[in-house]
Amino acid sequence: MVRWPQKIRFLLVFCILSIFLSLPALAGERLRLATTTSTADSGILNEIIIPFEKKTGITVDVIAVGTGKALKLGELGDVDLVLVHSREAENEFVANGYGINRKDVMHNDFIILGPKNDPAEIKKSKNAIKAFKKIANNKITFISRGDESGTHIKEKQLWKKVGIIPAGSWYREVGQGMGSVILMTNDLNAYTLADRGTHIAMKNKVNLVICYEGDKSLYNPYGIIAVNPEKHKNINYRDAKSFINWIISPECQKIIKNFKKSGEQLFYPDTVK
Amino acid sequence: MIYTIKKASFSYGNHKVIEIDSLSINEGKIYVLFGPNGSGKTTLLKILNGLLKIKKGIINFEGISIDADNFKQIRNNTVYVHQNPFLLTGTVYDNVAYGLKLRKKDKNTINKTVKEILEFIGLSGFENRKSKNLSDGEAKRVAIARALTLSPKVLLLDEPTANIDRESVDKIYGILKKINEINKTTIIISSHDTMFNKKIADEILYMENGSILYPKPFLCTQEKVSQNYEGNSYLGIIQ
Amino acid sequence: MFIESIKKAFELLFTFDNEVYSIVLTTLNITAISVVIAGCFSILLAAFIDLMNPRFKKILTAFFNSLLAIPTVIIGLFVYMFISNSGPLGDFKLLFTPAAIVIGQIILAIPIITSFILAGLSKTDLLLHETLTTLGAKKIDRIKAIVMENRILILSAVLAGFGRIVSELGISMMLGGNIRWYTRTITTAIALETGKGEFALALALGFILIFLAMFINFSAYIVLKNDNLLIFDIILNKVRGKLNRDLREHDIYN
Repeated sequence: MVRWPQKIRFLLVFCILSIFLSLPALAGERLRLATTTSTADSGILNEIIIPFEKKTGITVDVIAVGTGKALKLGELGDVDLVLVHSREAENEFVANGYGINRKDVMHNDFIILGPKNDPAEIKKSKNAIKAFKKIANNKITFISRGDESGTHIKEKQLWKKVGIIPAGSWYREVGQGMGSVILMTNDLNAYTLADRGTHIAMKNKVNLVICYEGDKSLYNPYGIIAVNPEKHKNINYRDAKSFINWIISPECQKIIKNFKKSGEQLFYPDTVK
Repeated sequence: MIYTIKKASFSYGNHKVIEIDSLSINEGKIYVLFGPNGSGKTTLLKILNGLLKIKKGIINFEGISIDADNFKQIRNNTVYVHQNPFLLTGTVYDNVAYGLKLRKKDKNTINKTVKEILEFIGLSGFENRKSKNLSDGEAKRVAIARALTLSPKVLLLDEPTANIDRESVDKIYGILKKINEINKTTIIISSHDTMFNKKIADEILYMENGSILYPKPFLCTQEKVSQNYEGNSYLGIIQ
Repeated sequence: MFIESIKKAFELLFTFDNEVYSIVLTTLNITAISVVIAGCFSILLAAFIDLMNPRFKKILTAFFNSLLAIPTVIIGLFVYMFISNSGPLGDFKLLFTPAAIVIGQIILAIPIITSFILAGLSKTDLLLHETLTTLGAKKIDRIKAIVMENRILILSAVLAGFGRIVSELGISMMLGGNIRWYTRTITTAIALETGKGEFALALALGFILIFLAMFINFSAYIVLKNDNLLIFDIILNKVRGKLNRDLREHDIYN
């Protein structure tokens, strides 16, 4: 029978080998991209990243979190790139010196989702602000992302323009991703502000409809920013630049244009018509 | 005198368990501690093994005064066997060899010693038996064997014949007598088994309430008591 | 939906879906390493504490018990502060790698395994200790004996630790980043799919996790029944046999 000390030695060697093999140094050069959950969930990232990885041999790690956290990761230098959709926050990020080489990538829009019967009657509203006002006045349940995501920031901007701070049992800040929020909105027969991409992805799972759309204040632009290599060590700026060049290249912009879900186009490229 | 104890006391917390005015143990003799439950027999055995340290008083072992620093003296030369001995998981060999393995003896010596001792206690060929499969009597003998491998000067046993069958009791009697005769090992036993005590003891010490007393005749075997008491200094009562 | 999920779980497993296998293997790899390292450390720690004087022992036992209440996200956050590029250990580039998750999970597992062992040790204690003392055991011998005598307890404790870390989400998410093909574990994948509304898929992954846990626990039970790691012995003996043969071939002995 094999003695116990030998067994323990065996286990320890196995462990050390495994950890060694999974150490980052041996994993090859990786490019870290922080982006929002809605962007990642839409599925477009695969289409953009796979050709890039093939061409350059660079492995791209996608970390999908809320806009707020994505920018924070950039600020801390834990990622090399951020791809978010919150123009003001992006500008602040660059102004503070955390990011450089900012480029427009693509855009789509936000929509207000709600129950089929549109209880607040926002369909014919003049603009998004009026729509929000109607929802608040009628105290119809509204689900907010509440997580400093791009969607949440846009929502807050709209409330500001309405001139109120939404509060009360009808306004629920849930701190969850877009998908979860849409499901909740569906369960509670409520309204919510959503990006078109996630809505299209979830259409078949819920009974919500687009109650308001089209206002230019619902414009949702996406920007990509490289994390400033002078703020931190270990930033992979070289590969970040390659990726930015790729994503605004005509070839990639075409991929963005042709990306469809349920037959609908989700994103509109910025540098190609 | 292998042990000399003067004015010793030991307490568990506030509860005084041992209070001995004076006690001397002769080398090479077999002693029996006899007395009601709770009289401190086990505690005394543990003190004699160095498992417990007396709070007050003096212990001399082999003429050397024992204090907090040199407990090794007692520990290295005495072994205590529990009433329900704890056998390590593994085989009889693993158990009996344990003490020797601790002392880093080489494999050949260990094998030889274990074989000899197993023969001595009448369990030859038991090397590969699993310790959990032994009967109570066999387990006690293995525990004794385990103690013997260390060739201790003093062997302390707590109720060695409790809860085991007559045959095993006789075997243990035989073993202890042999050890005492051949190796001149001092043996100190605590036991309720009056027949066994009668046969084996050279001296009987009666304990009550943590002290060694002059034995109450109706509780102790008459012969041994009168033998010892006949004009002789009854160990434990006077100097 | 329930039945649909179980069906889906089997589908995923047996059609060898690449992504699912990547997720499962990543999970296994990470938790195995975490639990083994945490286990070794906890065993020694528990044995050490067991040998301390009673007052310290009680204080430390209570301390480790209370560590069980720390939420996984807090552990994640705590480790994050150290291994972030802005933190003191940033140069090791550990964040968003499997190694980072391992670190967090080790911290999570140690209190559980240690507390479990300590709780179970109290029973055989005194008799074992006195026997060891009377036979002349030194401290290191005691630790060895405590471990050997409590093998089954230790295995149960390690399994409990395994259960805790394989089901945790906060640490994997925070420190691993849920990166596809790299640090996506079963739990982070479940969180992702749930967020997307893919409930059936999420449940399917959940079932896979449960099957995995059952497999591991039942295997442990079988190993325990025989009271020795028989399979382990066979493998190791084969390895030794082969090494000996290799040595002989290279004439080392002659």
